[in-house]
Amino acid sequence: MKCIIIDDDKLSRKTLERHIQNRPELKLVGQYEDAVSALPILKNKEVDLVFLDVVMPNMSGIELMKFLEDLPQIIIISEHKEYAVEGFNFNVTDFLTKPITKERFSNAIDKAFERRIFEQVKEDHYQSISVKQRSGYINIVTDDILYIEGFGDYVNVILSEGKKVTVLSTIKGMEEQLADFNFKRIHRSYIVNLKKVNKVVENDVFVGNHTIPVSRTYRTSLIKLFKENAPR
Amino acid sequence: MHRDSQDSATNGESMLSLSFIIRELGDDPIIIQDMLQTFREVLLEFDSTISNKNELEGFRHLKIALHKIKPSIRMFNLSEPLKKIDDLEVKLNNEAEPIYVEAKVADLRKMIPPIITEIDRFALKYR
Repeated sequence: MKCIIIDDDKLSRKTLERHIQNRPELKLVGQYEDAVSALPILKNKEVDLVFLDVVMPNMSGIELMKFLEDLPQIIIISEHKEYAVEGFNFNVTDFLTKPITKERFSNAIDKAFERRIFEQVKEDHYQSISVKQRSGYINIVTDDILYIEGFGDYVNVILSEGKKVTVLSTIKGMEEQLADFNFKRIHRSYIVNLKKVNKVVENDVFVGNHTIPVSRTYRTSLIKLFKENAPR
Repeated sequence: MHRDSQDSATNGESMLSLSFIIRELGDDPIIIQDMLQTFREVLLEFDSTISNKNELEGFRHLKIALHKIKPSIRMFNLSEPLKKIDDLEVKLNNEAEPIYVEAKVADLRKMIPPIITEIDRFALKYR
């Protein structure tokens, strides 16, 4: 986990540096005396965890959190506990009171790793669907799907790298299951992943190396969505 | 490496203690030296900050300087200076008369040279 320290207190930085050295899974990639100097590395999203002081010249730790739209994990370090309340409004991982003990530091780092695992599991969960096969249920990551082809009471899910999964579901059932994802029904027998569509030419949709028919009913709405999904 | 389990005062005059640093950061003399030298720099900067223009902006700079020095003072278990800082913070929050605040600042500043002497003594010990 890549981390930085933003704190104008020299002794606090040295204490944290020592604690970080004792946790090999952490990599200290920068130390900053003020929040403004840390903005480039934070904007480039090169950091997983920030040890952030609150009271600093020019820009406080709270102002920094308000300024950034996409925050990495934050552990607030401060003299006063009252800043903890404000910090938790920003969903910070933990709050450490100075001077920082190794036990409290270690607990905070454990929390940061737990949170990272939780976020990862949550992300994977939201980006996959559970489908039924003859042998039981499997999860499919939606990003791996190119398109779905219906055959009555079952469908073939065509995945990247030429893989195919046969699922016990109808095309309508799959359409409902994928409603929250970026998929579009384009034919009575086909659903496509809009992220994977290369081009739409007349009545054909090109997805990877595959050419899929689009029916007149869906063509206009498909082109509209295809334009909206075009990379900017 | 560890020279003294308490590593604080061996006589009644000593104020500074390394027990927090040894317990939390280890007893490597290089680290102890580094922490002592850094604390020395921090104290001198603090002394310089609080020595003038305190009254400007309603003692704002003084308030920040006091706030920032407290963890370092606590790290070296300097209880007397900590009491004086706490007391001064209370007075500032209650908008004490500037002349009273300046007297308290002067009182606090008098404590800094003996602490520097102690730091140097410990630095020699861990050299």
